[in-house]
Amino acid sequence: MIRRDVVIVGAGPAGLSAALTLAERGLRPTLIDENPAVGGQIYRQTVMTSGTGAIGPSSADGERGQQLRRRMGDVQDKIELLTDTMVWGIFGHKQVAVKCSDGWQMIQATHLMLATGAYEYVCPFPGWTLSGVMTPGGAQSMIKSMGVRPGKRVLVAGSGPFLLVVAGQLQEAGVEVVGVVEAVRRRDMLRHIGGLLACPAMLRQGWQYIRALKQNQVPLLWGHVVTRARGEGLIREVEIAPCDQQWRPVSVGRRTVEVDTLCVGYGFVPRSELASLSGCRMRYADELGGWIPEVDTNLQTSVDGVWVAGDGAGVAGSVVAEAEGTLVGLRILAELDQIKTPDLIRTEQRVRARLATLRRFRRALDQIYHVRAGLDDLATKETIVCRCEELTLEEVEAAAHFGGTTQRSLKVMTRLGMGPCQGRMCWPAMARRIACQTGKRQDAVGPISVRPPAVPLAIGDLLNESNSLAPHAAEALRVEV
Amino acid sequence: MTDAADVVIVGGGVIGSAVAFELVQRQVRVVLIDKGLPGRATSASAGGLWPLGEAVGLGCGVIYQKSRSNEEGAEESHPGVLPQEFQHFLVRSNSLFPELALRLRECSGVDIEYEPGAGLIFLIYEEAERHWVKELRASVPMADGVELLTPAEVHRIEPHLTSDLLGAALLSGEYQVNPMALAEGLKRSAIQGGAEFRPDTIVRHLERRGDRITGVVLDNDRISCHTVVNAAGAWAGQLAASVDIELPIIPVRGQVVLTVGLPSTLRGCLSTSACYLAQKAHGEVLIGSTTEKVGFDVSVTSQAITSMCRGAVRAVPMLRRVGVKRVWAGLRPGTPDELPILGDVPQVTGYCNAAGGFRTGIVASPLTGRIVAQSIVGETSDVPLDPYLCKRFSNRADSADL
Amino acid sequence: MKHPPTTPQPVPESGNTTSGPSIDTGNRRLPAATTGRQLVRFTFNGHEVEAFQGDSVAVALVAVDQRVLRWTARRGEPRALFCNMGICFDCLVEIDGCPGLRACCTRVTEGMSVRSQRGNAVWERDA
Repeated sequence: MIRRDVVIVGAGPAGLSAALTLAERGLRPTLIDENPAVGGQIYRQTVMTSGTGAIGPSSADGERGQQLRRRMGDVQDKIELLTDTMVWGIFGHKQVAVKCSDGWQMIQATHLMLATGAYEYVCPFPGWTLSGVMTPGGAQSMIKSMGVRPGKRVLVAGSGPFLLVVAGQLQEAGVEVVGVVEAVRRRDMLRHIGGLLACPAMLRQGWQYIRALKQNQVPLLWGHVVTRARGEGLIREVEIAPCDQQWRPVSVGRRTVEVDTLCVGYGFVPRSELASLSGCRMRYADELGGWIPEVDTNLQTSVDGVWVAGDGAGVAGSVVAEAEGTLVGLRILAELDQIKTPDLIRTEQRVRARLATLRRFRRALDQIYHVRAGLDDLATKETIVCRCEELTLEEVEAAAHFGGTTQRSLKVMTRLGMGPCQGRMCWPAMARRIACQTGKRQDAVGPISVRPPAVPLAIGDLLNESNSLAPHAAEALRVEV
Repeated sequence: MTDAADVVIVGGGVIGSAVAFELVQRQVRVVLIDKGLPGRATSASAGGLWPLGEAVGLGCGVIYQKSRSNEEGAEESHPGVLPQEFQHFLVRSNSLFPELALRLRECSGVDIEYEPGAGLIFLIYEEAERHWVKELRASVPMADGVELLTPAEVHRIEPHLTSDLLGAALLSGEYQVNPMALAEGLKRSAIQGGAEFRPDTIVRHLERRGDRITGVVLDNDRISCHTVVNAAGAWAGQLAASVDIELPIIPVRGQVVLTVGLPSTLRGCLSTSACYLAQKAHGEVLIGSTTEKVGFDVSVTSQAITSMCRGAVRAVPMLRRVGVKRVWAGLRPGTPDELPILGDVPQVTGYCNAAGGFRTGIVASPLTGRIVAQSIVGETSDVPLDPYLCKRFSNRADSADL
Repeated sequence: MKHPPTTPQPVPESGNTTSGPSIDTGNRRLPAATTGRQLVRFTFNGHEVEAFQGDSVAVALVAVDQRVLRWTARRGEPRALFCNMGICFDCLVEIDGCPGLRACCTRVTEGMSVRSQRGNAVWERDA
């Protein structure tokens, strides 16, 4: 077994910041990411050479991403960077199992930081499995990273400021954006806008997105939801309805729009599976997207030496992720070096102050955009709620009738969550639905029970403990059955 | 929700559900309580229906024996052969499955995925293993149902098997079922028949008044009854201990690996000295297992995963490229002599064991449900329950002292 | 077997060219998005597709308006790219004889043979 002082899983803003913080101060962290390049989802590196990567009003993101990459360039040889490397399990006490080119390897970490990010929340509605329905982030990365438009006529729907960002990027990329459909009603947004003044710069940025859409005559419909998508295999049109404060669609005022692509997402869900596998105590935080590990003020979990930062610890965006990653880097440094120089103390104070401000902004944002129960009304009994196992709502409700009201019991009774996505796509929505209907708290309904492997691997990948940490060849075919 | 019933069954796995199913047919008012704790054995079983295989130690028993002999440092010896009476019990229980599958489908709509196949095939890799099989056939009466095959013959049945073996032992007639669907079908049929089901409910302790068990105590509630059935699986010992009843059940962990779904690849169930493999109705291949005494720990270990994957690839090389969907663990209710613990106990009345299924719980469930129900209502049964009474342990202890 | 592969549901011609010769790469790519990138040719269900170094299989197919990637096991329904980050497992395809691979996580390589998956994975030959 290989030993390392610091292992960081996830090279997005949080993981990168932590790695840089440590490397810039003389340590040699191991930074692991399943993607071929660092940057996570938000700073996805572009394969385009003509510099068209930074598109639209999100160039602020582009700048921050560039900054991080510049810092990377300076300390490149001080970070043990393992890209194209997947962590498939965590065993014992901080023993990290990674998939390598010739088998797998166990790394015993002294400090393990999990910065695994988040994924988009889409709750089931009729037609959501049609071809041409995708997440806003999926469309964004296609454009930013590979310069490909997802479709010709796109509707962006769901909730959250991210929709505005993606709509702007789509529009700039020459896609016809027929509209942005936001579930939050304008009056409900304005009611909480005061809280957003905690970060005037971010509020200004948000306003710029909205203005850009207006200037390009892209309609922004507040207080509306997509109730269904129609098509024969491929999406042909969507139905939009006004909704109430709880995002429940109302029957009047519905309209149909023709599209060839629908980008739909209602916020994000933290990827906290590795925290779960590490034995961290978890808690349900609805406003932060779902199940996250319990942490102290230093972002250390209930397991000694396991730290979390970024969206994987609670969805709060890339700027918070960077600050949190830096904080964890500083704290690990303090624990390993046990030196507290005035410089470090000052830096830590600055980061904590920044985090406090950012979190005030985020709390206001979450108040506005947190998921409302009305979305439960979208699925009909024929709607597929488990995409992998192709289970309908009716089948799941039949099981609920016979006592299936927890994740474990539903899985056993209906196979909900038994597919390759391990319940990531279906469980957050089903859990909210069950909690709502039974009045149970989310911690009684249960998180997805996480079991290895956290990522797909073949039986053949598990036979041999490899002798080295050589990752897969970056560009070659990854045989990941 | 009632607070009184004729019978309260604690534990809604395959055994508790089978008892409930049989009792409602005898017009007994039943409350079935289940907590659904992680590690219940029903959900970690391959669902193999291998009465002969388990009875002569060629099913999961081979693994158990090997790990036991490795532990004790003993030389490899005969795999554990179960007492003849219990062999008959398992065969008889197994014969109930075809009709049960139809009944449960009619009653509850649940398909228990009872899959006749080519049988249970034990792969012989080493001379020692071939020797065991020959000795078994010679010494164990029921084992003349075990057919020895050459590599060519076994390949005709299972084309995806490795060619690197000395032969195989075929136990035709040994099939499989989906254990979770079985429990679900039994449970739903019991509910249709009038049983009340309390999910996500934990029984804190039994209620004992002198030498009578009068009911169960829940978090905010109690239910009084004539008889409590302890079908609490790996936790049955703890439940009994809550009122000072001795029940020698210890959890024995089994880890399993499940692959992604494949088209029909294995025609039978495979058993080797390293693992067993069963392809389930959704195409997923279940590979198991371990036998570990680690208390109630249901985590999985990298050693077990590696070892089972090696065993799987050795037996079926094409599995090398097949994806692993999930690895998890269950807790078998282990008993000192590997036999179940059923029926009443000398110390108290109003209490009935339906415990200790260990590695034969699934195949034994239909008959177990039946004779436990018969015992509770006082119906005569042609299957004796006496050999499985708990008092056999104190009897042996007493006689050991002599 | 409980769920044998069902007959795949038909998908209309427009927006999903599963037949015909080499497919046009024109209109889905941003201007100058392919500058300086090496051309990569692969096949999808036997038909040649032109892509560029760095494309994922899924996005290379979106670029030629080829969106349906597979048909599901239980209902034979068509599926396409959904999350584009390797989380949803809808974009599973068979690549060079190996099924169940996520098209959005796999970069195109010259001569790669990509096929739609119908139902459960089928491996071409033993390892």
